[in-house]
Amino acid sequence: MTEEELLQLARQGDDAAWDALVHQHQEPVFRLAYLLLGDPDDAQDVTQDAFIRAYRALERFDAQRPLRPWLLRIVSNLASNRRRSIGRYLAALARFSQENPDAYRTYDRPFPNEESATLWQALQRVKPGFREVIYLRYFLEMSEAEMAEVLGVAQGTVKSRLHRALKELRIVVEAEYAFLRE
Amino acid sequence: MDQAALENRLQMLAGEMPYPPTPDIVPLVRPHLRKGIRSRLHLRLAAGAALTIVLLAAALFAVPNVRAEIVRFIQIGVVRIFTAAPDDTPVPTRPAAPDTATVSPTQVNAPTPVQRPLSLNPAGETGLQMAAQNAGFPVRLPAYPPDLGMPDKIYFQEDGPTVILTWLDSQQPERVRLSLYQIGPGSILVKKMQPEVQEVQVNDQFAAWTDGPYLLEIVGGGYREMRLVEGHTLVWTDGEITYRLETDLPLEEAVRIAESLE
Repeated sequence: MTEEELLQLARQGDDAAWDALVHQHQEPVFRLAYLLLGDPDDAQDVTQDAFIRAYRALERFDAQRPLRPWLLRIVSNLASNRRRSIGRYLAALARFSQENPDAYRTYDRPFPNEESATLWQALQRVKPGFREVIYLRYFLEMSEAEMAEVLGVAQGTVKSRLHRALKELRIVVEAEYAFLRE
Repeated sequence: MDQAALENRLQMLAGEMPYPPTPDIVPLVRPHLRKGIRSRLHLRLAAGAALTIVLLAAALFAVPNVRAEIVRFIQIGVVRIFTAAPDDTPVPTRPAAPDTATVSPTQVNAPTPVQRPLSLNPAGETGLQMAAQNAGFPVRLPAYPPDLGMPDKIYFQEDGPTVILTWLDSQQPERVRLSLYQIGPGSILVKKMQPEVQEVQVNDQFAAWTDGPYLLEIVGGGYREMRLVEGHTLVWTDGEITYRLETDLPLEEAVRIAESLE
C-alpha cells in the first residue's frame, strides 16, 4: 500500500494505517531528534509528540506530498522549543565550553575510530542552524528539495546555508583540530 | 582539507554514528490517537452546546425583564467578557465574517490580516529570558505552526505581571501575525466589551473564542488602556496563568496553537 493510501485511511480513522506510517518513519524522525537534542529520552519524547501532532493535523496535510519532510519539520521545531526551554542552563554551559574547549562534550558515546570522534567534536563547535543542515544532508541523506521542505526555505537558501555550514566547519577544523587536516 | 574531502569524512562519520536503538513509537503514540479524536468530538459538542446557549440567550435577551436579570459577563482568569454592553456603550459595526475554511499547513504560513501593533507600553520591550525572569512564571512558546520560530517582539508589563509575545508577518513587518498574552494572577483586569463569544475547549478545559470588533479595556495598577480589537481572540487558563491569543486564523488553528504551548 502506498504512503498516500495509508494517509487517506489514517484520516478516516484507521489507526492501523497510522501505525504503519509511524513504523515506516520512526527511525529518521528519532535520529534527527537525537542529533538535535543529544539525549535518547528527550529524542523519544519529541518523536512521540511529533507523531501525535502530525496525526491531529492530518486533515490539513496534503496527502500527495511526502510525509517525511513534514514530520522532520515538526521534530526540528519541537527540538528547537525544547532547547529553548532549557536555554538558560545550556547558555551557561556553552559559555563554559567556549572558555574550556576540552570540556565541550555533548556525547559520550564511542565512535569506532578517532578521526570520526574528532570530526564529531568539531561539528559540535558549529552553530546549531548550520549543524542542522549538515545533519539533514549527510546524516539523513536528504536531497536539497527535501531539506527545503523541512527548513521551510527555498532550495537556493538550502544550498547557500549548506555551503556556509561546511565553510564554518572547515574553519573550525583548520583552527582547532590539526589531526584532521591531513 | 578541501570541501570534497570534508564531505567524504562527514559521510563516513554519518555511517559510523552510534545512534541508540530506535524505540518502537507505535505503542507510545496509539493511546493518544483516540484522545485526539475525542478532543475533536468534544470541540464539536462544545460548539453545538455554545450555539444552543447563544440561541437561548438571544431569545432571553429579547425579553426586556429577563435581560436585566442575566449575568452580564463571563470571567476566564483575569479576562472578563461582557456579553451585554451598558446602554451607553457604542456598538461597533461588524465587518464581513472572516474566512474560516480549512487551511493546510502551507496556508498557515500565509500573511494574516492586520492586527494593530501593541500600544500598551512600548517601553516594556525586552528579551525572552529577561521577561521570564521578571514574570516569575515560565514563558511558554507555541510549537505550532512549525515555522513560527521565536517571537519578533517581547514585552513585559509589571501589572499582572504580563508577558506579551508578538510574531510579525515576515513579508510585511508592520503587520502582526500573532500576539500571545501570558498574564499572571496579579492586579490586572482585561475587559472585553460585547464581543461575539463562543465557548470552546483548550486542553479539555473551558475557553472562550471571541470575535471582533469590540472594545478591549486593560486596567492595571498604573494604567488604563482601551483599544478596538478587530481580530479573533482565544482566552484560556492553565493553572494561575491566563493566556490570550490574538490572531486572524480560524478557531481550530488558534486552538491548535494554544495546545502546542511548551
